[in-house]
Amino acid sequence: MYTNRMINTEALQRSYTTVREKWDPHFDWVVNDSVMWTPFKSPLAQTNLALVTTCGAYRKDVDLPFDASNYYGDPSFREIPSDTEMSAIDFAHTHFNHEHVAQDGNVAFPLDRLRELARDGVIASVANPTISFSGYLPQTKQLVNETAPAAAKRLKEVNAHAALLVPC
Amino acid sequence: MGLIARAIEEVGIPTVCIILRREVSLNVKTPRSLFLKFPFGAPLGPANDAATQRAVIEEALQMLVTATESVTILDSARAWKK
Repeated sequence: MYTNRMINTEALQRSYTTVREKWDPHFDWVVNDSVMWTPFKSPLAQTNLALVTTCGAYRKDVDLPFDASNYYGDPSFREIPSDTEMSAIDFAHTHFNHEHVAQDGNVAFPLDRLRELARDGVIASVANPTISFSGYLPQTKQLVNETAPAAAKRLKEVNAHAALLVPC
Repeated sequence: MGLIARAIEEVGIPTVCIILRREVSLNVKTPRSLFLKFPFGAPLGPANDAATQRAVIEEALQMLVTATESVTILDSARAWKK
């Protein structure tokens, strides 16, 4: 059903050219041949839901900000407790427009919204901690081999039943 | 982001991604994706619009229940309103 032939578009081609010319001459898009599927079994209302953002969220004065100036990206992640106040959050990621997150971090790291969903019984709880990556990453080897599996293992340890991933 | 989703699925946790580019999810083969026609930097909707943000999240969470096969992409009907 699926082949490893890349689906290309003008937008992808533009990003490819920009990243190669400005930052990483070896950048290429990832194309996977295999599919991955874990069925969702528990009812939503009984779900301990993990939040994963790739917007570079971190806690001011607590976490080391992501290395947003690195041309090759920063594949590390931060663990942000699910009871963190949004006023304590900032974003270290230089490849998106910060106009919206500057006004309301929930547009990219919706901790308040998920806590409301838990309060209202739509989900059971927000998995603690939440996970934050910084999404500009032209070289994905360390992410795929080390940091993404480590974050996944952490979510398993805290008994997350499902994960919502939010980009920028 | 799809690469992170795949790593999370690998340990047995189902995922749903909000996406702003359909073709990246097709190439990475992200399991479940909700596609929004929102600008980069505001994936869940406008700042200080809790109702839209919540509705988008709930639409994504419903995909956990309704999607039946991998690389499912749902196009959200929501339009960006300033």
